[in-house]
Amino acid sequence: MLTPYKITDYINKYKPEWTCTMPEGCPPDDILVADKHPFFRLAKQTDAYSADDFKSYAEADPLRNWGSQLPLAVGLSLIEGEAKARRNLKLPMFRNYHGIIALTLNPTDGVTKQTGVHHSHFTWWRTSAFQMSNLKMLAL
Amino acid sequence: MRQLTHTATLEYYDVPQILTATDATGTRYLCTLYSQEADGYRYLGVQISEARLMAFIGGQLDLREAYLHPEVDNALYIVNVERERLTATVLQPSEMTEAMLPKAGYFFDATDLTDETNPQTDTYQLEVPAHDRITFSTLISRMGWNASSIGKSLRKVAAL
Repeated sequence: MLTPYKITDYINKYKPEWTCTMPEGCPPDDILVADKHPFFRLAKQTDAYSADDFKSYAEADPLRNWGSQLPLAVGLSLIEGEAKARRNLKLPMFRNYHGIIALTLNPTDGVTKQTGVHHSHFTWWRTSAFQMSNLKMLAL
Repeated sequence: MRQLTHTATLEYYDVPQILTATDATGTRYLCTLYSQEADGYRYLGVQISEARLMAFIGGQLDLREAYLHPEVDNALYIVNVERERLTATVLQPSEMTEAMLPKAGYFFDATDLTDETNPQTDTYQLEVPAHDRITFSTLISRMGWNASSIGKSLRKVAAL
């Protein structure tokens, strides 16, 4: 389930510790808080995930001038829908990605917002409370 | 080298994966991200007609086919995107590598687009006879046109 929240209410309630320094106005004011909500994320390996699979573009390339794209660059893309995730693996940028991680987010894991052009795409601003121990790799 | 103008993002994951652009003459380009370099993102671009672009958006054209079989000669480009600046450089077909290409079987899904999505469009007002409504709806679906706005139009037509 995804519940609309104001970011200030979320911060007051959960006291999040973000995984990186957030730029001003990020996460945005109107966010969605996941409670046992399933998402999918692409992974480099077929049968195992690693910390690298949860590294944002801004973390991977901290010297780049991201400009107005910085709020999205410090977040992570998530997909709602397995078929959509599988389709994205066909794109050339993901030629070195061979797996799909199924994850279930809870309120302390961070906040999300629908971004991009598809209803099924979300950006996730992650907290350090997120544990990578409870994830599942999908068979391809 | 030529300057392009971004017109729409069609697929987003961490960064725009597929986008459309136009040049000064109005020619359309379909661009797919294949590499991230220090000086920008590299997209494989192909000049594409409006009809073929609509076929892709409508889920009728495999993305890979758009690059393997362009409609005209010399249609391939490397498009570099650095912040909001898009520059296109001609790519010879022989220089196109497998790493630049999508795998076979990527068909765009327009059914999931947000209402705010606005690929470059023109607006037409149509009067559709009631007995053609089903055929018209099928056509709309196949072309990947904006279903909500068309739906409103159809309801208006139905009310006539």
